[in-house]
Formats: sequence, C-alpha cells, structure tokens
Amino acid sequence: METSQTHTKCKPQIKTDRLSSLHESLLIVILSFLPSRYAVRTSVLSRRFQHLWKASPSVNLSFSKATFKESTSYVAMANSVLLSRQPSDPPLLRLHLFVPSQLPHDIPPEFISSLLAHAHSLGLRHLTLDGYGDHELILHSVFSVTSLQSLSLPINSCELIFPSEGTATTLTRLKSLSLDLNPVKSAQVERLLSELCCLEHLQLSIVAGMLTVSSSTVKKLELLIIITMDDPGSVLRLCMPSLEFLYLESRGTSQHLPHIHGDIPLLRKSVITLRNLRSNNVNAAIAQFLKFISHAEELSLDLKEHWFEDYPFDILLESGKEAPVFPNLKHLNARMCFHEHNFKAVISLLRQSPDLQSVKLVHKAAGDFNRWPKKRRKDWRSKLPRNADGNYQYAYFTNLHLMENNGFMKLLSKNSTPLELKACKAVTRTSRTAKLISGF
Amino acid sequence: MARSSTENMITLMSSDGEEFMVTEKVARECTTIRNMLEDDCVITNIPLPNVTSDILSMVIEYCMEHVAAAEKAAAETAEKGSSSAPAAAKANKDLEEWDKAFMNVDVYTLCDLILAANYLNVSGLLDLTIQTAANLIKGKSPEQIRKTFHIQNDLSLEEEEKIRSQTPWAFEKSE
Repeated sequence: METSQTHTKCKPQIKTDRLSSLHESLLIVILSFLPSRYAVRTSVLSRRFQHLWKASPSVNLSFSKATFKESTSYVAMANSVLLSRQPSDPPLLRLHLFVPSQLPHDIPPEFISSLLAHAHSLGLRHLTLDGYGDHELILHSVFSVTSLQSLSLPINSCELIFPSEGTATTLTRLKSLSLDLNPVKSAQVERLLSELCCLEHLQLSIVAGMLTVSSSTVKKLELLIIITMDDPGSVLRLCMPSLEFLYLESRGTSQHLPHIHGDIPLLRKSVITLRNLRSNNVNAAIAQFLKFISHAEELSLDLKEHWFEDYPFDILLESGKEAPVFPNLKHLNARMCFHEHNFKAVISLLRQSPDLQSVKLVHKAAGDFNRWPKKRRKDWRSKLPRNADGNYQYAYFTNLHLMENNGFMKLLSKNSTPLELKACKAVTRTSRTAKLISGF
Repeated sequence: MARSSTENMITLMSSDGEEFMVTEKVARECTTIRNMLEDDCVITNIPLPNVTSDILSMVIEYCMEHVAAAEKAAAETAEKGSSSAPAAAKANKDLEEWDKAFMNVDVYTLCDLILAANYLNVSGLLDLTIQTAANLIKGKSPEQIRKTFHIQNDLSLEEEEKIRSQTPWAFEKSE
C-alpha cells in the first residue's frame, strides 16, 4: 500500500470553505468538543454557524478568575448557554464545571447551585466538577441531580463536605463515580456509598488514612493510593460482595503500603501496580494483600523496588512464611525483578495453581541496575530460564490447559526436589482429566 | 505489511474509480464496511461513491496503522507476556505521535477526512479529526477562524454586531 501521508500534505491550498459544507450534525459535534465560550464565538462566523452552538449536547463552563475580567460576564455566559436552555431544546448530556476555591467576585456558590439545579431539570447525564473548590452548598446540589449516570469529582479539597444523610439515595441512575479523597473521610464515604444503590464502577484516589469501602453493587473498583513519606500507614477495608475487578496502584515514596483487607468473594481479576517498595516493611503487607485476593482467576502484578534498595529482598514472601497460594488462578502476568528470592516465590505460587492457562513472566531490572558494580549486579540478575531469543528477560507459556508444556514443567521443577515435581505433575494432570470428563 | 495468503482481500473502489486492495481485517475497521460484510459475507468489491481516492487512501492508511498497532500489542502480550502498563503506555504514546503526525494536513483534507470517517464509521478517526478541528477553533478570534477555514462571512456588519451584542462575553479576549 502506498502511503498517502506525504503527497496529500503537498496538495496546493484550496480556498474553499469545506467546513461549512459538513452536515450540521457533524458541526455540532465539533462545537461540543469546545469550552462553551469558544463554541458560542462561532456564532458570528457566518449565517450557517449563527445558531449551531445552541444544539450542542455539552456545556463546559469555567469559573476560573482568568476567564473574564468582569463578574457579569460569568453570569451572562451561564445564562446564555445553560440557564436559558429549555427542556424542549436539544438535550443536555454533559456538563463540565470548573469551580476554583475562590469564586470570581460577586459569584456566590448559590449561583453555581442554581446552574446544577437547572441542569437537573434538563435531565443531565454526565457531570464533571473540577477545580479546588470545597463549597458545601455546591456539593449538596451535585448530589441532588438525580438524572446523573456518571459523576466525576476530581476536586482537590481539604474540606470535601459530603451531603447530609439520605441525600444520595435519590441518585438511582448513577453507575459510575470518581472521587479524589484528601484527606479520607471514612464515615462520609461509607455513608455515601451505602446510599448509591446502582453504582457499578468506582474510582477512588486516596492519600492516606483509614477507609472502609462497602458497596453491594460495585463490580469494578479502581484504587489509586498516594503514599507520602510521613504516612503512618493506611488501612483499607473493602466489603464489596459484587466486586469482580480490582485495580490497585500506589504512587509516591512509599514507606508503608496500606493494609487492605475485607470481603470480596466474587473477585475474578486483579491488576496491581506498586512502586518504590522498600525491604523493611513491604513484604508483610504484600503477602497479606495477595492472600486477600487469592481467589482471583486473573492476576497482573507489576512490582518495583525503591531505587536505593541495595540488597535483593523478597517482595512476595514474608520471611519464614509460605508463599501465597492462588488455587483458581488461570492467568498470571508478572513483571518484577526475578532475582532468586522472587523467582522461587513465583514458582512456588505456580506449583499450587492447577488451573493455569497462561503464565507471562517479565524480568524488570531493579533500581538503577547499570550504575552498580558488577559484583552487586549478580544478586539481582534474572533467574528466568533462557528463552527463544536467547536471553533471560521473559518467559511465557500459553495454552497450558490444552497441552503438556515441557518448558513449563521444567520451570516448575527448578529449585525443587523430584518428589515435589512429581506431586505438581500429578496435580496438573488430575485437573486436566477432571476438565476432560466434565467436558463430556 | 505482511499478509498471509489465507486472509481475505477486499477491494474498495473510490468515487473516482481507483481500486484499493485491503485485508478484510483492515476493511473491518470501518463499521460501515463491517456491517456490509456481515450482511453478505461473499462480497469482495465495495464501491464507495462518497470517498475520493486521496481520502480513501488516507483512511486506509489510518486503519492499517491502527490494526498493525493492535496486532503488535497482542503479539507482544503473547510473546513477552507483557501487556503491562509501561510497555502499553509507550505503544500508546507511539500511536498518539503517529496520529498527531497524520493530522498534519490542510483544513480541506481534514474536513474531507471528517466526512469519510463519519460515512465509513471509523470511530477512532472521527474522534481524532473532530478533536483536531476543535483545536483549530479554540482560542481563536472569529476573524482567525474564518481565515483558517476560508469561511465566507455572509452576515452584514449590522447583523454581526447584533449577534455579538447578544453574547458579548464570548468575544472577550482571554487573559
């Protein structure tokens, strides 16, 4: 296929107005991608554009002080694009509001609330409230928009005040919620979640603290935990009987990984990304967490030590304790430094997972590997078997449930006595036979 | 691009009669074509009377690049066992860079691509082109927008003044 990228670019400039010839519906889509003030600006381009912006399903208003010089402009903008909109007009699907902690002069929080109330009357479905504001009244109004299907509050607020009891029970259509919690207010979050009866997808960004997340409906939980130096250690309790997917990511200079426990019986898949792991305290927390999610069928681990940790340490094992066991595991995808300790722990894990279908192991050099003297590098070297590319960087095995894989059996037999190997072979065979029988 | 002989090839014909042979997989990136193939699986020749050869070749180029990227990601996951965040993020970034370079076109071509992406229902390309067009409007004065897209102002001075006076805030300069 000939590539066209170059020759079309060199086409002579044609001074025809192609944009205006696009169908109205496409022009409206273009306008819906713009902050409202720029969408409205197109009204003077030509007759064709004069009223188009009024049909946009999105309204995007910024109350940042940098937007206008005069407060009256904010009011006029909100009036034109939102408050004068009627239910008979094209539907309002998305509203994006930027609300700073200090609103422009003469713009009271009540005004923002009135915008939300009007959006509600228009059947608003998706709301994003952005900025640094912590206006109790505004948040209260947010939780009264009962037509909402998704709500995102990326508010970085010190005093995020949740609405009073019972307010959120009216959000019966809300399926997706995204919250930034800094600091964590456990009791309020707990109450809010207990009132949201249809929530399926929850995204939480947490700094530190004690938090209980309970929901009988949430199927997908994404947790982002920011760990600071002076973090005394967070405790998270998840009581989520419908949870199927758990995503956990830690950021920051972590000294203490959060202690996560609770009840998630239906968990199928978990994706864990942890950074800056230190030897002195992480392994107990990780081992405990792995135990917590040990009934998962799919596990993805991406682990990295702190850059100045200088001796290979066990990430997965608590010293003197058994390796984690994942009896239902079908797919493992692990990226970490496969030095001897970690390699042994993962092999031990694999030996006790009879239903494996695919295993993907990728070695990740720890710390600033190349800067170290050769002598020290040795301890961190990959213990993975030599692969088809002639290196030790990765090992992958697929279709393990369909056929015997000699390479995989060899991997499992590493560092083990023949007796152990026999046992694990027996386990995999039995499970396969059991499957064949159940297949008939 | 490597093609296996077992793959079905489809001929797409542009409005000006040029024929493009593509794999079925690439053609299926266009939802409109996918629906045709699903209705009638023996179809091998599809005339596209609304798309010129210039634009069709670009749409195909976009689809091929995105199919190749998806295949590469899948192959890497199978081979190296890594669908992990950093590798995927890099691949995403590469594809984003490619998209960005691909959008380095004149506004005439851009509008034709919007039309074609809409007609052939290539959602990724439609989002990309619409976002590009929106970025060309954002932050510009009406005069600049008209100049960018060669828009003829058919409003009289009085009419324009009247419209401006209804939403004066929209014409305030950004700080």
